[in-house]
Amino acid sequence: MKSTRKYVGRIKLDLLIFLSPSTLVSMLIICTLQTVNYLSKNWNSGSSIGNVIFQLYGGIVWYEFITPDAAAFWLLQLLPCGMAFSSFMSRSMNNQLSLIAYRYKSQTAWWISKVLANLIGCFLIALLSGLLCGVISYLDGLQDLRVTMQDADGFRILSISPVLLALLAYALQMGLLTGFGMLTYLITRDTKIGLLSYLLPAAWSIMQFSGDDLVLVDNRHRIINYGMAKRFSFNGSFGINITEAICGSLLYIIIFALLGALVQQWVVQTQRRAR
Amino acid sequence: MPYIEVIDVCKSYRNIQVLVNCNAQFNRGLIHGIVGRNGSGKTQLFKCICGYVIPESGYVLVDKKRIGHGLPYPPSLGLILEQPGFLPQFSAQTNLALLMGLTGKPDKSEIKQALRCVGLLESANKRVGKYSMGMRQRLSIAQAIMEKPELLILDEPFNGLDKAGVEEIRALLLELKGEGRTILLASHNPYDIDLLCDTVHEMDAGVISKVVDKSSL
Repeated sequence: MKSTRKYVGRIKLDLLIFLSPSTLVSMLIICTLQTVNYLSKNWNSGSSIGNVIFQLYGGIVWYEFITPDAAAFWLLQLLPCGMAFSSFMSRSMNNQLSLIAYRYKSQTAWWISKVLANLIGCFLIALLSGLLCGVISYLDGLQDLRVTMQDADGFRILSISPVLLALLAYALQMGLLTGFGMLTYLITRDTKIGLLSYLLPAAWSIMQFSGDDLVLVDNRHRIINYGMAKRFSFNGSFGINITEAICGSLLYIIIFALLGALVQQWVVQTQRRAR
Repeated sequence: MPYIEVIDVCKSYRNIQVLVNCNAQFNRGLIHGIVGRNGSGKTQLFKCICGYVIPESGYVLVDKKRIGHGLPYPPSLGLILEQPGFLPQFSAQTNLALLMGLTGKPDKSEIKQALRCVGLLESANKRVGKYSMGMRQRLSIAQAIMEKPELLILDEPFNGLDKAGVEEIRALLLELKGEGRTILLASHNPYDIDLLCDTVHEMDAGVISKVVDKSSL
């Protein structure tokens, strides 16, 4: 019982650092502005709440054009998590270290706690963003959390699963980027390099795959993150096999976590050898 | 039998020696002062003793157990090292509860007792972000003593405290010594060292150059 409380206490402290007020405020502002922007477009008539969440956080539709507008749009969505990661690095892994490290009793336990808290934090950011987006859409008069999709036989059906998968993919994307950033920070012990290792892959992946639909009407750009699934899929299958995409990002997250544990063990082992 | 033994400890960073063959013994239940100029190696020595830095050669024994060799940190430790980063959006009480939660269930009575000892009980529910530097220093001392550790390592605990605060913390350290705790104290104030410490280790350029055992005088 005591050890369960101990682990809960560790995750709780890390989550409070991860979800700092600046993270939550930036998430609130960005999510609100993007949702209002989306809802204000004319082509949005007849849409559902689920459709808005799906399009904003992981629509998987083919579009030809890749523009800086679309990239900036998606980079904004990754900004709250970047702020969370920055706060996590500077506090939990740096200036709070002297207070907390000896209370962990083991360096590997410290790292695992950070990885878990980071992942849970990313899921919470995705969940809160989706929730806020849904509430704003509801206030705008939209209803129904489901989206229209085609099943395997080509029939049109209503389903909530694409919405949930889109949010899951969004959370895993953040988890992947922050996991890589944390690992880089663990190796370099440099906050600036740690932050760059979050921002540069985020920017690169967005520039590569985000799209902007110019087809509808001039001056009405429909920005859709059709590349969400592609970014994580093993063979680059486009926006179709989202299960594969999710498994791919999970695999990378686990690899980063294991590499971090190995780094911690390496530090301990080499110090022993030196002695 | 010494409680802490520092044996031939050496440490360097990028070919700069910060600790050179340091040897020291610290007995249980006493206050041991470490003095020296800035950069003389006091904080590095503390980091070696608490397990945050592993020496290149030599080792540290705490209660006959080797630190960094199956035991990463001393088992019962309270620590003030550098500028501790509390969460500014939460109260002192919440900050201490979160820290205590890392090792088990937070005990509210122990937290209140620690805050009372450092004179922060009345401001316990105030956000740490609104604390003055002296109040944060008091909070650092509270987090170090709240779990009633056997060993306290205090690096410049009087920094930022007003005159009354210094008096209170001096009295507190003497009280803790009376309870049998071992305290390692670094301070630039010779009066604090003279008043509180039973032994004084003087450091210069990473070397423990002089040891004065006042208890044997």
